[in-house]
Amino acid sequence: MSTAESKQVIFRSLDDLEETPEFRQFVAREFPEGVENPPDGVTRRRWIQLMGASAVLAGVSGCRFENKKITPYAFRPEDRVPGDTREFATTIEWAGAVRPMYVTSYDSRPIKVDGNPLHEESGGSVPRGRQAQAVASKGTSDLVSQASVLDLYDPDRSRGCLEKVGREFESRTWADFAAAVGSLDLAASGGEGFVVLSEPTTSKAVSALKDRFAAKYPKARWFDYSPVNSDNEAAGLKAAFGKSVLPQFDLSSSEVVVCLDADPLGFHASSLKNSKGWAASRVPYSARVAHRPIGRYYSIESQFTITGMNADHRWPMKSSVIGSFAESLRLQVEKVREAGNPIDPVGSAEEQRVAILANELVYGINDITPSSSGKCVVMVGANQPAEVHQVAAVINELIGSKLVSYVSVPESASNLGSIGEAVEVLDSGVVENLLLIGGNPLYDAPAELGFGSVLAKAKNKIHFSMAANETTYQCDWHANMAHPFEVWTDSVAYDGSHCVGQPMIDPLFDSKSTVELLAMLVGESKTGMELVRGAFGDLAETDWFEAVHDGFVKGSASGATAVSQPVVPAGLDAAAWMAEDDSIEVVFTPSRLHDGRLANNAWIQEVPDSVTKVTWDNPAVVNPKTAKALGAKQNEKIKIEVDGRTVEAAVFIQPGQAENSIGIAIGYGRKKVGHIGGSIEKGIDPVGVDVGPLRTSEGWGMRNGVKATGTGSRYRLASTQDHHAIDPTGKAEIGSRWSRLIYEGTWESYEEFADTIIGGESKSEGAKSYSELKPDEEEKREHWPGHHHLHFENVDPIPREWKYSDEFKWGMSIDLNKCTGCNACVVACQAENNIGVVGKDEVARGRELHWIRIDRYMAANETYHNAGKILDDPEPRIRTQPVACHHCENAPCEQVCPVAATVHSDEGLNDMVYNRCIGTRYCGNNCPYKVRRFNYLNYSDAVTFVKYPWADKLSQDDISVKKLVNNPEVSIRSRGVMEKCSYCVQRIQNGKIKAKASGVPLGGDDITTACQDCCPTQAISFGNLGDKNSQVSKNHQDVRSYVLLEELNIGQRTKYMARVINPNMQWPVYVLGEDGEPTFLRYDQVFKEPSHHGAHGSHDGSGDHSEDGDHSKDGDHPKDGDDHSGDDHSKDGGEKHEKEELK
Amino acid sequence: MATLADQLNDNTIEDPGTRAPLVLGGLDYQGITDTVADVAYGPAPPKAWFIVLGVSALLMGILFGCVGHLIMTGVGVWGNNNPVFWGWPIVNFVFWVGIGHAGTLISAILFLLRQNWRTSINRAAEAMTIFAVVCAGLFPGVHIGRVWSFYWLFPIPTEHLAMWPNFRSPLLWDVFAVSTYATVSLLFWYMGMVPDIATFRDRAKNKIQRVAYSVLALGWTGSARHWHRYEMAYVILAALATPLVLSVHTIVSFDFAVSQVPGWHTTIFPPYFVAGAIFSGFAMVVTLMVPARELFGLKNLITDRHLENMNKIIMATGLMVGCAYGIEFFIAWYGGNPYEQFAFINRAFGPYYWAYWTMVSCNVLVPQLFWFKFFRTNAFAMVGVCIFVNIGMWFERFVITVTSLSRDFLPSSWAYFTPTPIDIMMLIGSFGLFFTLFTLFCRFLPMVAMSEVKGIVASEHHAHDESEEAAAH
Amino acid sequence: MATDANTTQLDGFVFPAWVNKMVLLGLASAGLIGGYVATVGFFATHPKVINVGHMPEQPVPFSHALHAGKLKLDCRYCHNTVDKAAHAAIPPTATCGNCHGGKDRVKEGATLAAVHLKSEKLTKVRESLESGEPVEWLRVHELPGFVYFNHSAHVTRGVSCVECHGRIDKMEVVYQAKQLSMKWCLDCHRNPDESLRPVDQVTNLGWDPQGEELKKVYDEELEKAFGHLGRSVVGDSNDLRLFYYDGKAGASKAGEFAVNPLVNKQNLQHVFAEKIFGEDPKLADGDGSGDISLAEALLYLKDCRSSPTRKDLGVLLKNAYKIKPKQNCSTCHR
Repeated sequence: MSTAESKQVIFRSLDDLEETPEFRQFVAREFPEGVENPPDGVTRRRWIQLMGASAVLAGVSGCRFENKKITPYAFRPEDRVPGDTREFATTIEWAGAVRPMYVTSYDSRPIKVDGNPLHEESGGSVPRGRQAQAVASKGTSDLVSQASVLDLYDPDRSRGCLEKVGREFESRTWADFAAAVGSLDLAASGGEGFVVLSEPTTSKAVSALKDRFAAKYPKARWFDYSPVNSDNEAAGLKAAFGKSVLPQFDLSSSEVVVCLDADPLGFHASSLKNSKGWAASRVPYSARVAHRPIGRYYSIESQFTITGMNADHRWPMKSSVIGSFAESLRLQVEKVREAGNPIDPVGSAEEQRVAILANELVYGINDITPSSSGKCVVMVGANQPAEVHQVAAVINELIGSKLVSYVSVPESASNLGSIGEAVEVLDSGVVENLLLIGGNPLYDAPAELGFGSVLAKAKNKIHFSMAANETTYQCDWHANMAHPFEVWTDSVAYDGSHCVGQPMIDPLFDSKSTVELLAMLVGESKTGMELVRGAFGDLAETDWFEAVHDGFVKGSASGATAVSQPVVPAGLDAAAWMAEDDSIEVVFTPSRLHDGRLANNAWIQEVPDSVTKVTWDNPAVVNPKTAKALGAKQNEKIKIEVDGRTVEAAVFIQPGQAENSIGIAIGYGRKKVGHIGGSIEKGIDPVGVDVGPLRTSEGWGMRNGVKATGTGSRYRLASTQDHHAIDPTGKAEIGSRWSRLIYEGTWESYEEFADTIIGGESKSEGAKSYSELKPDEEEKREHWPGHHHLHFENVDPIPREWKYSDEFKWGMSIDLNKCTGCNACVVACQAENNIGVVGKDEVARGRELHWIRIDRYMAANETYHNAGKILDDPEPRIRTQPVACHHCENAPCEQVCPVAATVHSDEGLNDMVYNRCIGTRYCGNNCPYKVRRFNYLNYSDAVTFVKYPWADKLSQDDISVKKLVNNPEVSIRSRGVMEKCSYCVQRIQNGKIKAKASGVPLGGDDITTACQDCCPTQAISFGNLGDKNSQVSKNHQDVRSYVLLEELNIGQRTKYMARVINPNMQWPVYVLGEDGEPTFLRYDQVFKEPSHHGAHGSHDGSGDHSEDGDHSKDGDHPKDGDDHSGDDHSKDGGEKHEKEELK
Repeated sequence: MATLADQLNDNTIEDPGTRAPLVLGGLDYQGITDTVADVAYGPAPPKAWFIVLGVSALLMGILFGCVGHLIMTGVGVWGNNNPVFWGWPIVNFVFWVGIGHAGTLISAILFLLRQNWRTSINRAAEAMTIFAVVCAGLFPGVHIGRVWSFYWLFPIPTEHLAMWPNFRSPLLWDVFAVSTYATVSLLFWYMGMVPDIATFRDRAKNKIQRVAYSVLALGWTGSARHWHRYEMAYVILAALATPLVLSVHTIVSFDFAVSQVPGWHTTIFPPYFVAGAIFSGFAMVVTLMVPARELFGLKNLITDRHLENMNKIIMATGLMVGCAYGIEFFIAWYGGNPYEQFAFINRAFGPYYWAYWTMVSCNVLVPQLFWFKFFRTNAFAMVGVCIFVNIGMWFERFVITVTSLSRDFLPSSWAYFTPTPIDIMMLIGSFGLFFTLFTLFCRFLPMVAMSEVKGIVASEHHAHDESEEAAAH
Repeated sequence: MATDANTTQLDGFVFPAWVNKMVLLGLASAGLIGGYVATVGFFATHPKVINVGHMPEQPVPFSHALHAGKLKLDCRYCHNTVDKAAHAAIPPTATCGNCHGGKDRVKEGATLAAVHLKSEKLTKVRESLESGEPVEWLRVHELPGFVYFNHSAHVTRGVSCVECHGRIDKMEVVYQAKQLSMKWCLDCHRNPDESLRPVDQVTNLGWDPQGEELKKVYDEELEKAFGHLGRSVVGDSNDLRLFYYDGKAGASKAGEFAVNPLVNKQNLQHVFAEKIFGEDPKLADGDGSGDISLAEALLYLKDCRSSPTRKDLGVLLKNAYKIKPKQNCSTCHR
């Protein structure tokens, strides 16, 4: 407040004083600085006057306003409405893995990613209420796409180009880089000694530029390398059909799918389309209408994958012997085809199983309208060697599978081959200039090549990448690569369609795209758009705009090519898999960090693994028996050694993991990533362990015959479920309780139920579908599986004096028959609702903030359960169940909040008012689902009343970059505040207001939640229960629909739909015989199925009648004191139904 | 037939015919006043007093240090997690509020029941109540996530928000109950002390004592009008304080009983918590009185009979608490609710079995020693048992709060709670705060209610009895 | 100084006499000071005092009084997204450029004279038009970050700008006129009747019809909402020939209205009450009998139409366009 030149003013009256400028400014400032010492230039006496006069007024108007700026456009684009979100189509490609996307931008700032609804992969014919609308709003997506927007605002991205001077990097501009490249005079002697090691890309623009590059630098060498590749599949199919093809799978009408170490629902290039097909094939209602059984899925694998969790039968087997198993399956299929009819399974459990598989592959399982359906397929995982893919192609051809077709793809050298060649060229010391485009070969090249030492031999090394990683630190120049949302790109999706990647926002930092870099090298000065548009051939202006709008060129998906008779591979020994063999194998499983490039993505690091529920780590997953043999215990380290190189990883005991098989995910343990993924300089330790040293060219996917021993040194894994080793009491209770939480029944019982309830025609003429029940048959709407249903009606304990709005009644339905437990909804919710990341230590303490928790229950079969040896069951079943807030009408949390921070809206939402919450956390205690999350510490770096100055984890400008990802429609929660799923209340409110303003009444399905949009199988449906024909109302009326913890009588608005499994009743199941020795029995001997009319078990005793028979029928479980089983009800209940039918 | 003489030197001899003397050592009014006044005005207090004050002041410092760190960092410094949202701080709160209730029972209920033996211990017990409520009040205050908005808990009509707190929430009842309890017991304690402070005022040695005690004595002259009003006020306040003994801990038990967490959701909680409160309260009174009467030479006023009576009450309430444990198990089995059944099996055999069995042994087995007169009257034995009782009662609150929360409906949300150093330091620190206040009280305020004790002292009756005896011969 | 056993004289400390007066004085002054602090504290923290009157000095001295007042520019000319989105967007400099563009603009043959070409007040506008950098206005109305106010939801339902921004068309420099506190918003959400007006008058800030003019507006709205019901009310209560006619079924004779097939005599009263009086039909319950006879309904309608108040107009609009202001927390907090 400089008033040096102010004249001596005689203070006459308060008003006179008040008018002086410095007084107004003094009062206007919210926190007058330096109140203690008088501001310079003002005499003491004058200052006392000021303080005296202003004391009252300043006190009164002390908290005046901090001036905030509003900066509108200078020239606002035509249809831009500030503060509104708009969606644009684009694509992201990570070294060949292409994802067509729909990005939501808020004031041209991308904040949310969804699948492209128009593309076959992520949109298309998913049976969903909304699909009928002209513009399907959002397509499905997986958890990695949902999290990709966070990488755009990663504060650890480099701000511009860097040049290494001495040992330090100094920032440079692109002009400096261009000058430096010019001075290298690359074109001298035709590009002699100029090597490019790039990550592969399907982009046609890049391949066009590559040709022009080769023309300009004829002697330059170009190598494509990516650690995550499908070389084996390509080699296998090339050997089978003689040309390079890519298989396309359509599982929507599948009867039998056999997965050999394959994970179509999890890590697969077209996992979204597979998931959609898997779900469509198992909808019981439409299966009945189409007179076919729901699909039956077999999974023969070493790791517990997402497909394994959801398979009807899962058979753990070491990955290294799956090849020989495939060969014996092929021989059996040929035998069955020659026999002309199914061969009934005899012999040992393994032989019976192969026989059953072969019978079902050849003749299908549709006994309603039997036909050699050809609706069966065998799929093989990318880790398997080429011959296994070849055998699978032969089998598929033998059984005449219509579910797989082949698409011809351009010839490409194998990745491992080209990195080997590149290392040879580098090693020969002839390389002058080395340009690395993307990738991180120092981290992920095969171990035996020793890429680190070889890299030093190149003189000028340039690394073009988004952030400085391990390889960049060994290079001389770092050119800053732009994020795909900032630049024009193009790519070819899995189904061959040519996709456009349009930019959402100008590059945040000084960065360029690959095409722009190559154009610079080739000496062209075209812009990114021109280069990309050039790759689309001579598209007319309108077609080009339509392609950019849709995200891909319609109809450009390549059609199936005819393939010749596949050649049978030699050298596969059909008997090896049955032989006793206790050699240890290590399998390098695919990971959510792709090849390690997503290590700095906090959302991916913190979302719990679908099976192990471990976060921020890649544990060595080991079978309990193998762990005992190797002397390794949970939360301790195990040392694995291959060719003298050792790696120490934390052990995770996983029942159901194949014996003698250790699984570790790739992409972890990187040392130079950033504040999330770990960086040695910043003193942040790396996340997980680097398996690089164990991976050699020939043992790329897996390696058998490794040495592994438990080290005994402790290592704490941070998991979100079963934080501690569950004690026997707990395990027994989980075993008996999970069947009351996740309702499940077999396809036979569903058919029987549907026939008797809907009744009438026998199965063959195609029974009426359940929804064809006429309204007056309302009272026939029974529940399936019946034996769980409460046999008393819940009464509303508190007469409601205020009434619900008759217009909106929000509710949700989650179909457990479709949910695969893939976690996409968890990350989508995190992106939509600004949910914080808490870090490894806080997850270990049980304080993760995800609003959806995917519960995973492991259940051994009855024999192991009763003997208390739950961990010894070789084939436990895993069931998953997404649990979020159920918005109960009589919510236990609302009664106990002392400050009314959580109250009920008249539309049925449980409103959580963050600004009113003071954090007593009683609501968290009283929620039976424990879905409320508490901000224990300063996770969101938000401003609070008091906090330590060093409390924020990042510097202010890093925080400002990271904050750009936040959705402005949802408030940020500071520490000390409770938060929970709000049914995406911001979407509800905005949807209602837009509908009111536009005058078009809001349909029952028009408002969708973030989890509903992204779910690959559309398991979640949300909408207005008041509108009878909304999808959620139909689901709530469905026969499979039930309420989790219904007996608590709290009026939940979320209902689940029971799961329908389709097991083969003759399938041999490993059980514990009476003498305690493992033997095997038929499936229906082990899992007794109470007919749906069975005991309407009273809700307490239901444990002993549940479908999976985890208590034997006679209910000898000690706890089950009351002997009043439900049988007596059922008898009269049963007759009652029959009588009605016969009338 | 024990004669009066025998009872004079050991008043625990039970003789239904005579009323055992409650003041020994032949003290008359002057003697009573001197023994109590010497504590404050006597030579320097015993060395032990300084040690206890020093140690507890240090612990109190640790407590407030932890509170400061907690407010600056957040509730995450404790071991709480999801689902165990309430951990040690709430256990400490219930523990300290429970301890407070015995003081009010002794000073209010036993006064109305004309139990004369309560007069010499009621002042110290009431003081213990106040200090226990201070400790208890601290925890829920700092326990909430955003401490700076705690005033939303109070129904203040503001022009900004037009928002009232939610009167259906037991936490709000807690706020009213505990604050009422604090104010009423403070008023009752201070009003009862006015005549004694006046005595201290008249014995003041230096200026500070004189002014301080004079202000506190509110100009008490001991005139008949004063005594008349004092007696009336005392009875009214005793009547008012009586329901508090039962209502406050009932409302604290509602924090658990009103919820639907299996293991909390039982109607036995109110009587069970009140019995537990009185049980742990008396144990703390005995734990304080035994060393205090040794240190400050009050053995003639706080006699063995007083301690024995209290020990009997401890045993009685111990049996009630044991009975409540049994009832909880029976109801869980009888009710047939699978979640409740598992909640109690999990308590006894789950991961927290050690806490459960500590609780049962300390609360039910150890007090059985009081069947034997030796344990009821031997100083060391009695303090040992009482310390075990308080340990057991802390574990009871821990078992109820943490065990039920760690495993309830959905097994996937099960988790294990481990305390952090801050948890431990704040627990010990709360004892520091309690003992600091108590040691200061002992030194600077009349520890025993002299005026009331004079009302029941035997020697005056003695003169009266002699004449009877004389008449009898 | 232990006094000897038997003489217990009161030589202890006794307060001097003046202490009594002092204590009384102390209590009285404590009461007064306490009262003073409480009232000053109450009024000092009253949202009206804290929020109202914020008048920052804008980079460009734009006068609403001139543009919206004198020139009668409609609010939506500049704030054009007020009925389409949550934010009533501050206009881009291009909007100012339409008149103050600084260059003679030729538009369809009409030369658009550049207004105040040289005025140095508009230097920032011209600079912005040249450089493309926005003019950095200062925010006047500031709601906390956790409050999500939506302009379009209010403006499209008949809440005028004046309700929350006051007579901004009379302000030289914009200042915050209303306190915009939660209680203030809830009061209006709880009885919005006085704040509602026909949607086409939303930006007519001075609109305040009285008496006859309000009666004309009331009739127009009545007709728009319920067809010709209001125009001719005939007959007394028992042989009433007034029927409800929503304009679809053809009128047989002038002045005579055909019966709306849906409405029979019994529920006409219900339709009436529900349509006109909304939730609080008690307005028309003259005799306090609890239910509204048809006569009472007509009587109410008559004096409504004869001397309607803004509240009556509000009730009418609320029912005609189903305006139900929500009081859920998630309406503003999420």
